[in-house]
Amino acid sequence: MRLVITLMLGVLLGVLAGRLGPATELAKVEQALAEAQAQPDCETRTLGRDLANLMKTGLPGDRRRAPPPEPDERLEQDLAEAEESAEELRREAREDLREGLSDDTELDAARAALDLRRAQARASLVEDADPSDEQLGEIDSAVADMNDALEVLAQDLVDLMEDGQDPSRRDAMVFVAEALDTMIVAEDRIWDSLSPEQQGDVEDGAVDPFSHVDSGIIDVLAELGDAG
Amino acid sequence: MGGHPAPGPVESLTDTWLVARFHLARAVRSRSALNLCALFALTAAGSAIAFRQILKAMENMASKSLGVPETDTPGAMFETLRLQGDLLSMLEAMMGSTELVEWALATPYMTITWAWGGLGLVPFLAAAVGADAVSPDLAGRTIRFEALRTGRLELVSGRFLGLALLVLVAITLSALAPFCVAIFWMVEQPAGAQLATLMQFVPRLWFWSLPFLAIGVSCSCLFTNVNWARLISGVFVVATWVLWRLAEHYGEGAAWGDLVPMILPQGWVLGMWGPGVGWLTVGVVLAALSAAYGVPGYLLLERRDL
Repeated sequence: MRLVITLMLGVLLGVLAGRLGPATELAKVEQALAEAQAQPDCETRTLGRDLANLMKTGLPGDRRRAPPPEPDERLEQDLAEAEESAEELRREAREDLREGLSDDTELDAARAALDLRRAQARASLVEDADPSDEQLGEIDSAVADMNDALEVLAQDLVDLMEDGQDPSRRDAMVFVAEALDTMIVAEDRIWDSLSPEQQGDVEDGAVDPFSHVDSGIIDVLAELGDAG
Repeated sequence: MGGHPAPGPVESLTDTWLVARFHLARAVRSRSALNLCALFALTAAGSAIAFRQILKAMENMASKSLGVPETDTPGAMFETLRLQGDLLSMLEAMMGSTELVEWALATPYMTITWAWGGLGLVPFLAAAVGADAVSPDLAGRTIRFEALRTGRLELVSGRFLGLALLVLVAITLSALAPFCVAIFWMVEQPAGAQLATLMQFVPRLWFWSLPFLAIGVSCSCLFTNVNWARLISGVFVVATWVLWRLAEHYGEGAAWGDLVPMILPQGWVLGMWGPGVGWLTVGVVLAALSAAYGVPGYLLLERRDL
């Protein structure tokens, strides 16, 4: 036993001796890396570059050097400017939408929220109604069909906007009507798959089709951001 | 001092095994093994139930925010987050390695919770068990009869080995507690994967317990009062955590900051994670550390007038 314990102590001493040198070296490298990472990131601080660009190009809409316009010309110019600002606002709104849809963090958060809602709604439905395999298959099928239909609708909307058009009032109404119709059909199918006793047991939020919307729809809408 | 002359190498190993077997049999006969297993299982069940309750509270809070119904059985949301990879950043911060995170995400989270909790709880339980190794027989002075039959080194190492086997049984049985909680009171928990991964962690936790068991055995050789032995071994266990944190926090770049974690079990804890059998190397180091921690106890007993 004395030999075994001596051997184990030898192993320990060997490990300590063999690891101490590399560990010190590694600590130095890690410290150097941490210092390098602590350096300010030039790309995220663009104030200097923005100021330089501003000095080169001047203020937008700076008319100090332009001659004063004639009265008629002024009216036309005001109208043109108003038209320009309206177009600018529309462009900004579209850009905001595209930016929102191309921001990975926001998209991930939206995906996570939809997935969590869906998982919890299904878990609640299963816990309250205790459906049979057949019933659960029908519920899953209704939800899958709804999500497929919603993705097709979303794709149509994306195609329309990618062409540079803004959806008309009628287009928007048709889109909403079809989406709601799809959801109502899905809710009816979920509801009909349950027996009257089960229907009494489930909470309303568990059969709400909005709780079962798949995060795939976010991926379809994200194409708008990619296109921008 | 007198006593039995030092036995030869083969006789020494045989004696050690005989002492271990006797100690194990005595623990079974006296129901102290039952108490130990119950203690380990209760601790594991307590931490598993606490985790389940925390998870349930968090999921219900998220349900309210998202406008979906709450559930009595938690797990659906957490499983979704696990599959999505949203836990990646949190685990990366805790483990500091992408490979480890990917492995952890593929492991049932009740297993991870049990193993994580075990790393904190097992040291105290093992030290308390080790404190019971020699003290009662020193107090009753019955140890001198055993010392007439074999050497004191065999006596200490045999008792250590016997208790180590007992701890192995207790850890194995305690894994059933999180298994039951996961299977019967949670959703989305595959039974086969749960049991298989829990069993994979049993030897890791066992190796992890050895240095702390040795601390307890050493304290047991120091005190004739078992309660003092338990108290002081607990203090030593706390001291290992404190020293480790001090070395991690203040010893960065200093030689002592590198050395101290290496002579503490906590300095090797990250090596216990990960797939495959890579943790076995750390297991050997932990076994060697337990020998080093046990030596002071043996030296004390060697000099003690029994």
